[in-house]
Amino acid sequence: MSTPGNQAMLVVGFLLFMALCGFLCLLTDSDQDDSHLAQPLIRPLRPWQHGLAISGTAMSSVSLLGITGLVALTGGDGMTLLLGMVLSMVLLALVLAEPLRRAGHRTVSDALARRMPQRSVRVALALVTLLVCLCFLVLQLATVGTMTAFLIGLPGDGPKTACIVMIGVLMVSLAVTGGLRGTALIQIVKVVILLLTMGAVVAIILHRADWNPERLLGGAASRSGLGDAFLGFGVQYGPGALGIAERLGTAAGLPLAIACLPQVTMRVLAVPSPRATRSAMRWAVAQMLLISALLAVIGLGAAAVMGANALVTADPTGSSSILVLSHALDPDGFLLSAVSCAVFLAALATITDVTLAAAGAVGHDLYAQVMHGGEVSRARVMTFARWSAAVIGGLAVVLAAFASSWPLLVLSALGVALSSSALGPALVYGLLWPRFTSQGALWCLYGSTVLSLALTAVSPLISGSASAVFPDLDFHLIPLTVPAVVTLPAGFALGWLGSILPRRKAAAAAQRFEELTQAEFAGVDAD
Amino acid sequence: MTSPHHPQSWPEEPGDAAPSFAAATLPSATIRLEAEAAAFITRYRRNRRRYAGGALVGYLAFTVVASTTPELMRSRVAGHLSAALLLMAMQIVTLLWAVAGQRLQAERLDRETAGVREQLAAHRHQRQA
Repeated sequence: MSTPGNQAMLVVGFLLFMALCGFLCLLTDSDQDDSHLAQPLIRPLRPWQHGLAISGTAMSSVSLLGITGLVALTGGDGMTLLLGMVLSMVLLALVLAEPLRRAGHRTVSDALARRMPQRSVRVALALVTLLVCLCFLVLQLATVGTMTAFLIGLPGDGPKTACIVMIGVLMVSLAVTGGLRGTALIQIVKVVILLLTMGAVVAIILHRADWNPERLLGGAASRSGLGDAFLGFGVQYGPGALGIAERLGTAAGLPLAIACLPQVTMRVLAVPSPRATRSAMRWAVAQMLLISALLAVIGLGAAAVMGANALVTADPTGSSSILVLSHALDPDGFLLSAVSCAVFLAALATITDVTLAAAGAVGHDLYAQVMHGGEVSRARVMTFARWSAAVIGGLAVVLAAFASSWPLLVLSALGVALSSSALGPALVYGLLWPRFTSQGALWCLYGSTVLSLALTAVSPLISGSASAVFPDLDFHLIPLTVPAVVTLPAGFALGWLGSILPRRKAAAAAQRFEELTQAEFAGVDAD
Repeated sequence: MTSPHHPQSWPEEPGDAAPSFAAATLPSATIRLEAEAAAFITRYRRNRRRYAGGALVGYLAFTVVASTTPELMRSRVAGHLSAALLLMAMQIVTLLWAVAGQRLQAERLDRETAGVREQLAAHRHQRQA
């Protein structure tokens, strides 16, 4: 797929994006994120820019590649995931974003600390946040490293590991030097470039189909090898009760998981006011809807132009569909270079955001609030957070180098399960349910995390199948590959049970919740 | 590296200066204002429940139907447009309705509550002082 000319173009494109991102980070200067005294070099972001940054954070490069591939190979099942991505933004816009912004200061822990000031809740939230961030960091790094090695024509494990390490170090250094506003600008650039490149691919696909959606759908269905099943549901997980359960688990877990991802909530908390949050979320929903529509057409186009066999030959998971299609549409390689650079930029932006979210959990929650009770200067917190970002990023690079040969589905399944079942109930109950107590928070945070890890460990994702992490071993006990089927309802049940058991505490929590709501309504501090 | 600190507010900051009548009000006025605020908060919650509930229930119904009746979903409605694609298009319309409706209602409530919020904030500041 790659020729020396393409490779040179790719390397130049990657370097240009790295330089652009570094420039944006230096221009914004992370020290100014918290300074009200210094005159910033660029003006504060507007609500629509925050909206683009929020939706850009929610759409990672792995989602971009993976879901497009699923649309190309399974049709309706992949499109359901795209609908889930849009729903995640709607869920944030209608349910979570405004209460979170009203309640929170810097992190989700701050938002819950109004009602539950106990250190144990902060520690639990920070630990789960770190675990989710590590899952996503390793997943993104392994994917982008593998993609880069593939694109620049370096086969084998050695070059793949070298790509992961080099890209990881560069991206983590951006996260360390760039602040929240710098990375927000990177997200905005990413969204604009993604829309332009994906728009160009879609225009070429539709031009080939004579601008007739009927023809595109017909071509995709016939060349997918699935016929009418391609335009329905049920291809990905198959028939039967297990298939139904896994489809339900994915459809319910994905939107909540994305809405509660630490990097997404971090972006929501960066919006300057609750009313601006409302405006920002409208932009986020619109942008996510647009990019999802483009990806659906690209997936259909990949099936129609290439056929399922060619896509599976290039990559059994279908994740390289968009790259294979770009090369087929423009054999000169310009389109492939543009799409690869856009995907690379998407990965870069996601990794810097996840690293920042993890550093926020360590620096602000664990170091400043838990270890020092909030009595520490911002400068020291910033320094500690920077070092934390470097350490977490370094750890993620090492883990990604080891995990690059794994089936990456295991990390995405675990990340979705943790985010939707541990962070999801804590956030939803914490912002909306008056009787939620600290015991309920601890039960759902720790309970769901342990359950998610245990179910993943005994699933066919780890052992007992050809596509497992350890294909030669077999200690799997359950056939589920989507742990969220069990962990999502379990997380909400644990949070509810932990809160209602001590009835006196639940009543006190409800009273405190009403006081805080009244104070927020008036715009004053309840304390 | 973290976001700037902003004061909590719902939905925007009330006026900086307390209204001149605030100093002369009685505790009974505070009680009345708090009752009005509680009624408005209930309306905000009802508004959120209505639109978020509509969007989520629609999506869950779609998910259950799509997961349990894959054969039905494959049936063609017109040309290559299957029942699954039609349902998905309807879902998108529902989501857009929810986002637009919630926005309109919330902005209307913001305008209605502006006066009460300002008065309540003034009373609370007075009591805290």
